[in-house]
Amino acid sequence: MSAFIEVKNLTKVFNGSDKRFTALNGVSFSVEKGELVIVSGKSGSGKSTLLNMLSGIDQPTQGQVMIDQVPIHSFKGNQLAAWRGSNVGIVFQFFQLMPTLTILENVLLPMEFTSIVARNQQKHRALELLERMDITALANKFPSSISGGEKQRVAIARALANNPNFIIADEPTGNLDSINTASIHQLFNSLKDEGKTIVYVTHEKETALRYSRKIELVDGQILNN
Amino acid sequence: MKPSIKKVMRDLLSNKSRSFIVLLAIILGAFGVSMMSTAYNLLDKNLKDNYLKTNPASFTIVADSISEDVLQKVKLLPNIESVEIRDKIQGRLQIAENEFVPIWIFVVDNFETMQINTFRLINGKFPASGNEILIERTGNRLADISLNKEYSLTVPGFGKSNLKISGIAHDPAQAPSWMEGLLYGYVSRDLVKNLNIKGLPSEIKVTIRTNKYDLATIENQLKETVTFLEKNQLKIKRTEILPPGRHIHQSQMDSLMFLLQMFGVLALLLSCFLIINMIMAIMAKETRQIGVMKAIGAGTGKIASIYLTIVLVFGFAATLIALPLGFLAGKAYSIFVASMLNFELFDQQISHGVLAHQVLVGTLLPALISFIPIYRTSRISVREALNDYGVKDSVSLSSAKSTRFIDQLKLSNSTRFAIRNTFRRKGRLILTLITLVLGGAVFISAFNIRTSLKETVKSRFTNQRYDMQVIFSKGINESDFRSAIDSLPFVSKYETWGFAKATRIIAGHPESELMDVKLAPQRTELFIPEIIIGKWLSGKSDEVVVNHLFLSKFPDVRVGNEITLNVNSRVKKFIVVGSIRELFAPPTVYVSKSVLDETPGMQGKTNNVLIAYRPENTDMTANSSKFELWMQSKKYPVSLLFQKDNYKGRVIDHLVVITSMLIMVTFLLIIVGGLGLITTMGINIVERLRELAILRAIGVTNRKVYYLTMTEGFVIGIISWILSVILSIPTSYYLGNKFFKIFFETTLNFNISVIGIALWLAIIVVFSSVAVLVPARNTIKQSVAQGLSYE
Repeated sequence: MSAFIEVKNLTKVFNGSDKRFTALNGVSFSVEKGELVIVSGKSGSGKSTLLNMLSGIDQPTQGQVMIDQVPIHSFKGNQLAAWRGSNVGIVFQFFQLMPTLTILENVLLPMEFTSIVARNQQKHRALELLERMDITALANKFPSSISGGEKQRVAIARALANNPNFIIADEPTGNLDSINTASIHQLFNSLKDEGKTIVYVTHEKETALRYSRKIELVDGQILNN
Repeated sequence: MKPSIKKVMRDLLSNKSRSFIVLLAIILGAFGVSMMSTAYNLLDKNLKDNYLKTNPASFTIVADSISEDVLQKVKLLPNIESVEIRDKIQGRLQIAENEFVPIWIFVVDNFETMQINTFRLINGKFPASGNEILIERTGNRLADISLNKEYSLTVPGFGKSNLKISGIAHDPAQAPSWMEGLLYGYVSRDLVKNLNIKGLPSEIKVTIRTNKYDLATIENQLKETVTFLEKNQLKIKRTEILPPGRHIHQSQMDSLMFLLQMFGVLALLLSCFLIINMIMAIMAKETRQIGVMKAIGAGTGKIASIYLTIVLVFGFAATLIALPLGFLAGKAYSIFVASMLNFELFDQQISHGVLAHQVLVGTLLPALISFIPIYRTSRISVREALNDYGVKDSVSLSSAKSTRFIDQLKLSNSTRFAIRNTFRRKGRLILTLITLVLGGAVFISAFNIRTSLKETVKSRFTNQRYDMQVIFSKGINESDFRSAIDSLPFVSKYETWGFAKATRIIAGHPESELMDVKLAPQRTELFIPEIIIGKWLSGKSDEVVVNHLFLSKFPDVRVGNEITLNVNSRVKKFIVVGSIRELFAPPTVYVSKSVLDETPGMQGKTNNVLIAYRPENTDMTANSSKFELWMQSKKYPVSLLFQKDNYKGRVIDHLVVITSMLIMVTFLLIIVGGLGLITTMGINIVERLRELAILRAIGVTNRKVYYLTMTEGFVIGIISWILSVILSIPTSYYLGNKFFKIFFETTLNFNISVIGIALWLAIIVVFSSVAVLVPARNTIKQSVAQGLSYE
């Protein structure tokens, strides 16, 4: 049986105005379904670039990225967007909620883009997710009126809206206090237990120590896997 | 409602001032289009309707007196709808002591049953006897005419008669009296008997039944009728076909329509750029949100549809507001133009097609024109969008060359920084400049056309160095006139000319309509011809100079050609030696005064004199009154008297509809252009609030922030102003000449309006200061932390 994530010889080069910068240099690894992988490294090590390649936000200069046997490296703009909407949930460091939508509407938004969840089921699904994140009471509030921890729960609920098997989290606790950080870790653990495959980017050593599978990047190459 | 639509609506409501400006931009564009197209539609159909309701004659045959028997036979010819005799008498009506106004009197056989060239009685009653007259309503603006009052009518050669004004009529087929400087009267045939007017040719007016407005059919029918009349021993003097279905002021209307269309399109174009600018600004502000939406599954099409929905919502809302306002403004303007050109707006409803066009333009056009920029911006990659922090590193225009150039300027660091900032975002700068330049160019163009019009009219009258022209109904002894006029102290110069009517004879064609013939003395100081091609008369009796309107009427004629004219019933061949430009004149030919001497009974006589008053005698009305009195004392048979000042006033009146429209366009553009300036400049600043906060964070004072933003605004303003001036020249040259060609069949004396250029500079300075200062002040009011977190 093949791995859920198969990355082979992944290279990403950025062409600046006066020089080329290699962010990832021949990276290869695989991740099994239901695994939670920590990607760590210093600033500029290539963590975010790798995340962008795995989520289809950016395309590689060279190499292959297979997610659940789908060669996303060969996809183009709208194809990638459609794939992302149905298959990946992304949790951003700075939450990136829509400021003019309520919490409930923020969770409903990905469902509108993909139509995976039937229209008459969308609200029910969103409320279910809010309940799971323990933020039902915030459903009709706007992002500006809730705390950072609550925002990140909303962001996770939004990432789960279309029930993807693959979750990507980019420093999801980077802006949270210790209590909220612990609670978010609990959530990710339960998602892992449900069989979701999670790639979790962090530079926090404590977070890295919580999980067994780690990929450490240095200067665009894997130092430890 | 879908979350994405809710997002759109709340985005709009969350920034009310920005949304208001976008709405206002679309409202102004839609208003301009609605007003212009309403005016176009109402004026076009009503002018035509008014004219056609008079049932204008398909053709006129001028012949010796026609018997009732022959007239009845003409009525029975195939395709003849109706036939009427409508004789015309030219006279002078005395409206005050020593004050006369020329009058054209139409003799109507039966007011109740008239069918051709009809008119409406709007006050009083039809003349019941030979002592009554009906006056066309626009005469009121030319002379103080009162109902039931008596006035003395002089018909040169046939004496005087006192006439009571029995009623006021509206005859939309006539150009307004106050514009033409003559009254129109309608009398019964009894007046002809009372004054014992004999030898008056019959003007036979005929309308045809089928293909009424088809020139070929009319010409054929005319030929058949002429043949029939000649067979009945009637001597045809001349025939006349006016352009079928075209009102006398149709060319004025056409030129107005052309300008309305052009300025409507330009206002729309300006509004479109404003909309693109705004929507791009909104999208630029929401770049990261676009990135997030794409990251969670939205494709380019979905993102584009969200922003297109914004434009559609705005377009719809703006249309709801702009359409009724535009309709009211367009209608008001149409009523004004109709009153100027003497017609009524019988139908004040715009056509369904025009309404549909207005709704489509207001609602869909903004979405259509912003589709490409929205789609292109929606294609931004997720990575680029998420990495947008409102402070871009790229320096698009600061190439090594331009950097060196800016460095060479002896400027302070802050000024250099501000100038470089201006050129940093190439796309934004180009969009801003296009909007500003377009607004400025159209504004200055409207001024240039107005100035050119004024200068053209001025030049027309500087070529006429006389103050008054008198035409006598018969020749007067020239040497007697000379010795008599020398005694008048207020006359500085005079010239004795000749005046006649002529037709052109072309083999195989009926004689042309009557045209003016002016017989010039060998030397003239009071009339300076504006020669377009060829030369002025040398004194030879076979030379002719034609004006440009003659050439428009007879395009087969070239300088050097031979033409045959029937002058005073004498057929003579002439060589065309030159062509002159003569605005506001009918097709006219100039021949040597020696031709007058060839006319039996005219040797040593004159029937047309040009008079120049002494410069110190500035009261032209008093001069004319004194001159009139003097002519009465000498019993000169005055037929027509033109006072140049009055004539000049009438010429300017002809242009009122055009100049008023240009003024209206100018005001509209001040609002649209000014608004464009404020918003585009404002957006430039708002987009960089984070950047300004960074400057403040590193110690730049508030004063310096003001200085930097002001300098940037000023640089953009000045660049746009220079480009506006450059673009306005070809724009106004093209529009002005095209409009003049339609109106006057000649070119415009093109002039650049310094006032327009200066005014636009002032507007740029004032509006750009406001546009930059307001957001800059708001920035400074915010804390640095707020500025840094601005999204």
